[in-house]
Amino acid sequence: MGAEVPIARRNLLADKAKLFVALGGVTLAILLILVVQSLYEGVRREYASFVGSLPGDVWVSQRGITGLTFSNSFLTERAAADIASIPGVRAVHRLYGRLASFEVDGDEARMYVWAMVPGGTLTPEERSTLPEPGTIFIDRVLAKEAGVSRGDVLKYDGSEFTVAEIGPIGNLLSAQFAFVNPEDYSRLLGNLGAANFFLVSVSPEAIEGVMEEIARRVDGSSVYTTDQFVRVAEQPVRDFLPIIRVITVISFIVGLALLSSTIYSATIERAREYGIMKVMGASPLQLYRIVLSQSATITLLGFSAGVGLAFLFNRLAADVVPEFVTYIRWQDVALALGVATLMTFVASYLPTNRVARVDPASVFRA
Amino acid sequence: MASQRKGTDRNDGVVLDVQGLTKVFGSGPASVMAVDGVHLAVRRGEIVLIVGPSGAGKTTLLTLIGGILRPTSGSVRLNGYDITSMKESDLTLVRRHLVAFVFQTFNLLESLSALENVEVALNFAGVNGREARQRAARLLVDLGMKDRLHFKPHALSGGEKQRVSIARALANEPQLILADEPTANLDSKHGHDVVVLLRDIAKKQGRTVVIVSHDHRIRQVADRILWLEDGRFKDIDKLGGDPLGASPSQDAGPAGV
Repeated sequence: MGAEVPIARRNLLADKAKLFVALGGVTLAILLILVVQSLYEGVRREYASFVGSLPGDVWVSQRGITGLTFSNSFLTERAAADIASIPGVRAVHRLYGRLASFEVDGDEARMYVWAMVPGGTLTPEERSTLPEPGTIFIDRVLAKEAGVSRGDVLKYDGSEFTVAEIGPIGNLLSAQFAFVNPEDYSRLLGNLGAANFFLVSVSPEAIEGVMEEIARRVDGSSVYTTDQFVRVAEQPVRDFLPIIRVITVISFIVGLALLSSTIYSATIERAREYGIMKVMGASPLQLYRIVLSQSATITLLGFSAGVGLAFLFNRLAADVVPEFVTYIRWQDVALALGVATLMTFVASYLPTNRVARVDPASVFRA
Repeated sequence: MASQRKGTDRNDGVVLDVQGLTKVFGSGPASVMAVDGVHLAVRRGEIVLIVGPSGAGKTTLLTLIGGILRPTSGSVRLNGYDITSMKESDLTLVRRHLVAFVFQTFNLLESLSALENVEVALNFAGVNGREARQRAARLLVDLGMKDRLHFKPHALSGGEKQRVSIARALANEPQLILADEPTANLDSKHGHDVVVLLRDIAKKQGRTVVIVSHDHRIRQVADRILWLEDGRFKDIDKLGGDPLGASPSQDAGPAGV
C-alpha cells in the first residue's frame, strides 16, 4: 500500500464534521434507492406470487386489460365451454374477483376478494388452496394490520366468514387479497355468469397450439402463458418505474452534492500540501489516488451503512406499516454499488483537476 | 530515469552545472527578470551558500535548479542530466531521486506523524510497508528524533520539525540538497544544530548542498559564498561596504566565491 490511503484517511479524519455530513449524504442516497427499489420489487412479487400460486398454464382475459385488478375483464360461460373443447385442454378454471369491504371488530377492512370455480379435477394440493363455504383465506398483511388471527370472524353484508388460512396471498398496498368459496362469492359478491379470467390447464406439448386456438375462437380475448400474464398483472406497479427512476436520480444528486463539497473543500484546504508532495516527487497519478481514496472511503462506508440500514428500515417499517412489503434483490444492491462507484469518480473529478493545477512553486512562497 | 538524454559523465565531480540560466516572469513592459544568465558549478560534497538582498532571485534560482520552475533560457544539469528540457514525468523522478528540498517553513504534512512524513517520501519512490517504515525510523533516530517518531508536527518544536524535514529530504538519498532559509524560523540552539546537520550531510555523506540563507553561522561551514543581486552573481570583493555584515563575535573573513 502506498502513501495514498494513509494520507487520504488522515485528511478525512481531520474534519470529522464534514466527513459525517458527506457520509450521511451517501448513506441516505443508498438507503433511499434501496428502500424504493425494494418496495417496488416487493409489491411486484406479490402479483407474481399470486398468479403463480393458481392452477392453470394459460390465462385468458378480455382484450385490453392493463392489470389484474384495476381494469375489468368479462368472459362468458360459452367461451369457457368453447375453450374446454379444444384438444389438449385439460380444464378451464374460472377466476372471479372484486373489491369488497369486510367488517372486522367494528372496523372496515378493504380487500380484493377472489373466488375460483374449478373447471376440472384438481390435485389435492390445488384443492387445499380453496376455502370451504363460510370460511375465508386472508393475506398476512391484512391479518397483521387488522389484528386478525385464524379462527376470527369477518362479516360481510350480515354473513360471517371464519378465517381459515393466513398467508402470502397478495398485497396491493391499498388493499390485500383474500379467497372465498365460489358459492359465497356468488351469494354475496357477484354473479358467476361472467368470469374475470380463465385459467386453462393444458398438456405441455400443446400450449402453443391451444393458445392460438383460444385467440381464434374467443373474440376480443387476450391469451397469455402464466409468465406473460405476470407481466400484465404487474403493469400498474411498473407504471411507477419512472417515478422510482426520478427518486434514484435525486438520491444520487443529493449524495453526490454532499460528497463533492466535502472532497472539494478538503482538497482546497490542503492545496499547499499537494504542492509539497509534488516537490517531494509525487506523480500526478499518486496525488489523484489520494483524492480518489478519500472519495472511495466515504462512498464505501456510506454504501455499507446504507445497505445495512435498508434491511433494518424495511424490517421495522413492515412492523409499523404491514403493507410495506419489500424485497431486496442482489441486483438492487449491485445498482446501489454502481451508484456509489459513480459518485466516487464524479465527486473526484473537480478536485483532481484542482490538484493538477497546484503549482509546486507556491510552496516556496510564504 | 527513462530518458533518452543520457547523463554526461564528468570526471571532475561536478554534480550541479548551471549554464546561462535565465528566468523572466510575465511579458512586455511588466516582465521581471528574476534570474539573469547565471552560471554555477558545484562539486560533490560541496556546500555553497547563496546570499543577497530580498528580491535578488535566490529562491527562484533554487526552484530552477530543483526542476520546480522551467527557465526562460539556459540549462541545468544534475549528475549530467539536462533537466531543463525534460518532460514533467521525468522531472518527477528528478525530484524523487536526485534533488530534495529543505524549507524555511518546514512544510510537513500536518495530519501525519514525524515518522509518516518521512515514510511518505519513500512511498512516493515506490518503497512501501515495513521497509519504508524501518528506513524512515532509522533516519529520524540518526537525527536525534527517537522519542518523537509518532508526534505530529503541531506537537514538535521548530528544531524538531526541521530535523524531520531534513530526514524526509534524505529519505531517497538524493545527490543534491537545496535548502531555502533552513534556520530562519529556529532559535539559536536549534539553528546551530541544523547547520551542523547540513555540514555533516555534505562532508560525511558526500552530498552536495546549496543553501540560501542570511544566517551567518552557515558562512562558517560553506565552502563558497556567492552574492546574488538583481538575478546575477556578483563579485563580493567588488561590492561596496560589507555586504555580508559580519556578526559582532565573528570575523566575516573573505567569502569563497
